[in-house]
Amino acid sequence: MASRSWQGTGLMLLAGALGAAAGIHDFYTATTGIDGTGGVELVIASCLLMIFGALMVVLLGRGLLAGVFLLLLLLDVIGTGVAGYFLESGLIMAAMALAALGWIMHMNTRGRVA
Amino acid sequence: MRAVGFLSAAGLLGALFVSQVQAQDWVDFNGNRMAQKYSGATQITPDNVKDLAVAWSLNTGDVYRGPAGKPANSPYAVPGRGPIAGRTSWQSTPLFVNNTVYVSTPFYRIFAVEPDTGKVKWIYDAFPQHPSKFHGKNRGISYWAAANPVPGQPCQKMVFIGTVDGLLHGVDADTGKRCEGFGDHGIVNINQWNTINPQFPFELNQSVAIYKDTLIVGWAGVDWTWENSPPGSVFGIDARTGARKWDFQIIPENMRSRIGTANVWASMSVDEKNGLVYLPVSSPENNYYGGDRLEDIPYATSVTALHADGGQVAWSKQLVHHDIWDIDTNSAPTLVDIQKDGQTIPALVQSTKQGFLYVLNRLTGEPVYPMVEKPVPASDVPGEKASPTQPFVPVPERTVPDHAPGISAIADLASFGQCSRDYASYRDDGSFTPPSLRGSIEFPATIGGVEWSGGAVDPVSQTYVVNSSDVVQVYRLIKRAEFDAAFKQFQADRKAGKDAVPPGSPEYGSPYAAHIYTFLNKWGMPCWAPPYGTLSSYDLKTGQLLWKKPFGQVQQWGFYMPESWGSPTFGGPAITKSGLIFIGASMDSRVRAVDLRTGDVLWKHQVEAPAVSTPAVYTYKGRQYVVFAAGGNSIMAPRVGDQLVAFALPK
Repeated sequence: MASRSWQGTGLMLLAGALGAAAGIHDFYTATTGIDGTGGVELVIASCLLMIFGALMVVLLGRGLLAGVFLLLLLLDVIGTGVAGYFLESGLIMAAMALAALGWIMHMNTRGRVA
Repeated sequence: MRAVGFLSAAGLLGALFVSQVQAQDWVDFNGNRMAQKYSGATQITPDNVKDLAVAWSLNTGDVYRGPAGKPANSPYAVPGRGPIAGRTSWQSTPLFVNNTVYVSTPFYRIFAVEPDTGKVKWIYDAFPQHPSKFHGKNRGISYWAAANPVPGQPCQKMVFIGTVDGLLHGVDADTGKRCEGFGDHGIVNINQWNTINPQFPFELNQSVAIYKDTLIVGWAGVDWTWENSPPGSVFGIDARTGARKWDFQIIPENMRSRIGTANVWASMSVDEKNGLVYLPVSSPENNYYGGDRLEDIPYATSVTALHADGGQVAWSKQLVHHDIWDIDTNSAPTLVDIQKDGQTIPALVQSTKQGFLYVLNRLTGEPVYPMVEKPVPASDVPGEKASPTQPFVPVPERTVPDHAPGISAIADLASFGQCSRDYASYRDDGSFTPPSLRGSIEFPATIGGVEWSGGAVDPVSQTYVVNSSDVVQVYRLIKRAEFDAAFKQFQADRKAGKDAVPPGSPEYGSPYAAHIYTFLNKWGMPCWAPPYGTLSSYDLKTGQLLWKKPFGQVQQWGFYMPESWGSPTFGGPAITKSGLIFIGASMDSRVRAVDLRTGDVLWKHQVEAPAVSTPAVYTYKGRQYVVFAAGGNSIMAPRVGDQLVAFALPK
């Protein structure tokens, strides 16, 4: 079961990295329409936080603090997804869809382990 | 025989008409001399426009992106160019003529480009260096060709570009070399005629108008700074030699020494058949307080027709009396023949910052659709006497509402009621509320309404299309002593390296300075309800509005706001015979194709900066292209660029 739990957090880690990469691409590409904007900087920061949060969940395993991080991760995924929507960035939205899937997978396996 | 004669005449007229409207060139800033912004091209249609793709793209390198507003970095310096006033502003419509795309840049260079590849043929630099600060702004170039060219001689086809210091350069259209016979080795110093209160040099940012072998030259300058700035004037000069043929003075002679501008800073249109040139005349200084100019200035804020070969006034129609809002007539009127009530009327459509579309007989100046003088609010500023009436146009419908939109609930909530509180402190009596000491709500204000590109017309269906902004501004007059003290403090703060903001515009020589600002909350959100910009279509045969839709998207920190909000727009539309409107103009750095019939957006594409100029449409070697100068301007959004990009259907 641990490996399935890893799949969820692994997806979140991957999504955070993809989201950050997408943000960096959007930030530095002249024809994205959102290059150099504060909105993309925000997304890059939130994706990096997502990576940090997912790693913390892995390290903490279970317990209250891990739960807090999971809640923060959910808010991060939703907020970054909404930002991606208003930035009209398909890459960021796709990354956040992946992150949402990872979060659901993690919660699903976590519940079953409990 | 009479029937045959009639048919022959009709056929001849038809052929003439077809040859006019099916031209595949884009010879002028406004498409053609009549400022129609219309192309007879039919290859790109509403059905296939979705397939439109980049054919070529070129970065000119002529852009300055910042830093903005940091006193420590002022004056900003451009390597090899010298000090610049701020970010560049690229409002130049490309031309397509002589099998070449020509475009001018904010650094006063002309690029001649191959129309199918974007490969540069030659570059002419009109402005290698300048001793004082320049604005980095350009509104276009003009093309002239001799009616009877002399074989083997250069300069039978010329491109003209002006500079910020009043120099008009004439360049051979084939080689990019200066035409030695034009002025002094290819340069005419228009500024030599800047003799009354030359507070600033005449700035030649816009394209010159061309009638036969006469160039008609207006100028721009520095607004809001001196009451006694140079008085408005227009010059007719010989296209071959640069010799002055005539001049037209706009301010009455007895006022010229103390009241400035009322100049022509926008492009003009020309009725070649009737020998008339149409001037959009701006407002005089002081732009916001007219107590020192209570006498009539009949040509100020007008559309004025001159005989193009002599400069005499044919007629003039004042569009704002005693203008104290800086709502310059700001675009070339669009010339078009209208079928109305069984008659063909030689008409013009003058779009304006105040959102009225004045449809006039272009030979007489008489309104085709009535202009009605309506009472407007009086001024409460000591010394000022606002005009008791202003001309309103019930038909066609105004491009903006008659009254400022209400307060935006979101902006008000986000600022904890700041918008409502500020609004309550201002004066708002509707259209033409005079500026006041406590601040007056102005809608539309100097940003417009319709800006310098004006509208476009399909001369066949007589459909007129125009984009318009819905922007609320606040005009506050400041007593001279109060302003001077605040300005002194600003200068001291700036000297100390603080990030200080000037208290307003000085309007030296006047008892009042002015502080003009957009009505925003502390977060920079507009305090008024959307939409912020629209695109509209009118049937000129009846004056009726066909459709009106929010256009473009507002962007803040990169986030796109809903399409229903629209965007303020700078830069005009172009219409094609196939029923499409091509337009950039919006703040979101996208260019769009719109269905002329319905107003629906059929295609959009991201470019590097807002395309604040009108696109050019042309056909070359059987392929239709639409080319945009995506350069932006810092009025609308901080994003500026240097991309010239052409679109075409895949081969």
